[in-house]
Amino acid sequence: MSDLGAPSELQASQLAAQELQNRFISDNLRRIFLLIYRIVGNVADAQDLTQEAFIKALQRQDQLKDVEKAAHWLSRIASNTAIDFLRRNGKVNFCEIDSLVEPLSEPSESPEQAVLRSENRAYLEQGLTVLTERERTALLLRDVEGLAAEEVAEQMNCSKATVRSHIANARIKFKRYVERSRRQAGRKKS
Amino acid sequence: MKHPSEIQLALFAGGDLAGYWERWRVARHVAQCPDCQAEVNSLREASEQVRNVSAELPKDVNWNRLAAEITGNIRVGLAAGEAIARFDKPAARPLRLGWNAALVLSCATAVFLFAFWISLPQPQAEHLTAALKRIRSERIGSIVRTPAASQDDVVLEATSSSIEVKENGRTMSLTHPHSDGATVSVSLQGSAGVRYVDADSGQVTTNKVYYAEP
Repeated sequence: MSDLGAPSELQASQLAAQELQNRFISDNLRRIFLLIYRIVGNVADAQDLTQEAFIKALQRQDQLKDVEKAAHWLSRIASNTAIDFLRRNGKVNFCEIDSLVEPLSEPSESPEQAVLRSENRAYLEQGLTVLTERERTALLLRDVEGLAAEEVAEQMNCSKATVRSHIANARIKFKRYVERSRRQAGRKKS
Repeated sequence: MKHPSEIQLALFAGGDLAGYWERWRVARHVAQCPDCQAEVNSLREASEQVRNVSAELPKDVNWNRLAAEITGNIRVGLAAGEAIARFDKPAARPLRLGWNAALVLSCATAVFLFAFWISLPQPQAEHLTAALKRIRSERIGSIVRTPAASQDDVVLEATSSSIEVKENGRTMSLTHPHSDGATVSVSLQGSAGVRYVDADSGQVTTNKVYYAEP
């Protein structure tokens, strides 16, 4: 006589697949949300696009050849989803090159206020907003996600030279932003 | 000593400078120039800060609540996708229905034929059996007894050149001129006919031979 309380083999495999799926989501959710949030710049759009990226990935999981590269594969889907969103809505042309403007636009929050409220992180976070969307996207994919410049160019559908230009401009602008905030904080202290 | 440009240093700091010689030249200069070295270090530090700040959640975000909401919506989205896929899938369904219909129709036909057969009176049933046997062994345009037919049986045969009646080893033939347009007809009741057109005169001739049981 069969044990009616025990799950069937099919149910057991479905439960195992469900468990794997849950783990895949929980392991990668924060990282993917942050990647998309840094590219699109607001929580509501980042939430929708994170959901979209995970649904796309899980529906196409049979296309994943190497399980070891699942996280990298998911990052690609997420950044593509965010880039497509910016193209659709913001009409961003990722292949235009921005000039290195000096001085940079003033942040809404001064470094002094940020230091006083122990929110240096918030100030730095604002530093990312001084970059254009194309520069920020290139910088995040290169320096945070660790993609090669060639891969970034492929994802942004631009030439390698253009992407290198975005990356260099972004690094220089962010560095200047950090240096200026330090100078201003130093002056205030003295 | 000419310093590399700011762009070159920014690319060099992240290992993105293209071209072997350019990389070598900038690396050599940076190794000897404290100013450029400091610049490269600042750029690397800025990149590190970008990494750190990117790993932090935005202000005023309750991550646990947001994560639960996103996870729930992902599950709903996946379930909806599966439902749509199931709805879109049955392209092969009409074929399956067709096979079912064919099966039902075949069974109904078999039942009808069986009922018809058993309701037939004995003589008609025998006549039908004989006719079916003749159909099975017939050649196109002729009525022929089965090879097992005995010498005593009567054979009525129609071809494009003649109509023949064979009985007891004797043959009676009704021949007609060869014509490409000859139409040969036979009937299960025991008759055979040929209809042809004379190529010269255009006259139409019909020959018909009936076999009657003695």
